[in-house]
Amino acid sequence: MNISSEIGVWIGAVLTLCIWSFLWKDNFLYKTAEAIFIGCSAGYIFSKLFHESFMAVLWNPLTEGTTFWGVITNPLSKGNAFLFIPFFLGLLMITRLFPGIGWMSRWPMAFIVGLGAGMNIFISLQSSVVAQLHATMLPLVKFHGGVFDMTAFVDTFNNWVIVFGTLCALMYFFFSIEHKGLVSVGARMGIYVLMISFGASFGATVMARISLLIGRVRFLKEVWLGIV
Amino acid sequence: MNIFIRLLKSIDRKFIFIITFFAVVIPMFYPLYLPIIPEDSVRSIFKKIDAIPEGSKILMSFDYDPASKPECHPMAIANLRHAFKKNLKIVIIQLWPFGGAMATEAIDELKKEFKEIYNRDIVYGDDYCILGYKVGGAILIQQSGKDFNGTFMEDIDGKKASEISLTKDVKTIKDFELVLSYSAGDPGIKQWVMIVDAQYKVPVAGGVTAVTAPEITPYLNSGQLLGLMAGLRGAADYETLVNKKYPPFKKYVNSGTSGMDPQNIVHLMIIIFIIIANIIYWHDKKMGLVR
Repeated sequence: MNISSEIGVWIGAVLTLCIWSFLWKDNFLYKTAEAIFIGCSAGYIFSKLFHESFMAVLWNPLTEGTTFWGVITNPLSKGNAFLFIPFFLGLLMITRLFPGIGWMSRWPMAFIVGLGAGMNIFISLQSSVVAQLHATMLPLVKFHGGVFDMTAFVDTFNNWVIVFGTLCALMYFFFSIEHKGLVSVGARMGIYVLMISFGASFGATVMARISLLIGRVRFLKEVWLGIV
Repeated sequence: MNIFIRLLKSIDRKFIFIITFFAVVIPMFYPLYLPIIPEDSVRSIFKKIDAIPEGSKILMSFDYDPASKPECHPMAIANLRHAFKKNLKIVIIQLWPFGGAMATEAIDELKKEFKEIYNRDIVYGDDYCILGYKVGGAILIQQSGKDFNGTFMEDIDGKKASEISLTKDVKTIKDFELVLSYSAGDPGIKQWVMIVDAQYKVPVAGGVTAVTAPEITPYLNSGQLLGLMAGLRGAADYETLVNKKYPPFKKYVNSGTSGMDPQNIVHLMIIIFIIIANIIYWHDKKMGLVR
């Protein structure tokens, strides 16, 4: 055992234990650790945004080789006057802080929503709809080198699960006709398909949360207490 | 039976927390060394990196933060080990604000390993570089397909990308042999697949947190994603492949591999809990206590 002498490690260890104290009940230590986490994260993100985004992308290119006042008085001289557009939109976003003129922030917001929607519709259609549809169009009988062996049987089974699983799940969400007869059977199967997918998601979530616990325990054991 | 059910129902949830804690801690002190058989989706990433010619450039996007570090960090380290050993040139970008700090931490760890094992220095600017964080997500990725250095202008120290030896010749995203994203959500691997694979035909692979894996798996099945490491298990798979080919790395921290024993024990425990809960539910239903 070789307990760490680094102050940062001790702070991390103590804050981890403070957060874990919530498992017993909500308390002052937990609230303090939570507040520190939020404050540190917000400060760090603000600093990153300011230096690596605002300064690097907007301010430095705008004022390179001149002063900001020089750019204001003669914007076209540097040939990057178009940077004033995002600068102006950014300023409008800040108007949210002032109730009287807060409505002006809707313009940059509209720009972001419009740009985002326009881009996402195209790329989502291509990769999340067309490519996924293509991936479900599978042969229902598959041969392996011209022979129907065990590998071919497994592939065929998988293809049936994908094709009919997709169809049944879609049938469950098809409300234009009454769920009776064959449609009812398909919709019911669709529920089972959905439940299996929810089960897989739950299993994955458990795995993720346990991984986080493992990460923290390892930090306490190896980094803080020095037990390797 | 009734007494047993009543006893189970009276158990405080804190008791479950304590059992879970010990189920994690005990295998860490007394490892079982359960076998790890890498999945095909992880093998395909290993094969791809292995096949890339020495000196080629790959892009790594660190799209996670400290909250998801236990899952994403081990897989990033395993990929970096393999890529550095193959002498690939690594350009790192970050779609999440903490990505740069995560990448720096990972590479600092690997610098020590390579110095100790191979007496080799991993040099910033020659072997790797870390470009600065920028907001934009999908828009950045889209833009980098047309003008990479115009999109990711500076590194984390404020040096221009066009002045760094590793990035000065990079024109578009097509100059990379492979894009790897370690992703804990949006923006992340989904955007890389949707834009870089679909529009620019550059192979995309990477790792995701286990929570995100079910959402991303359809892109793997449809062939849009070259390979996928899902959660700590994905990291353990990749570490196994790297350690098999390069045994000296075995003695260093392999967080994914060492995390598999606790993971398996806790999963087994949760399965038992679910069975017990269902027995209680079944009993209560039989007794008419629940509808």
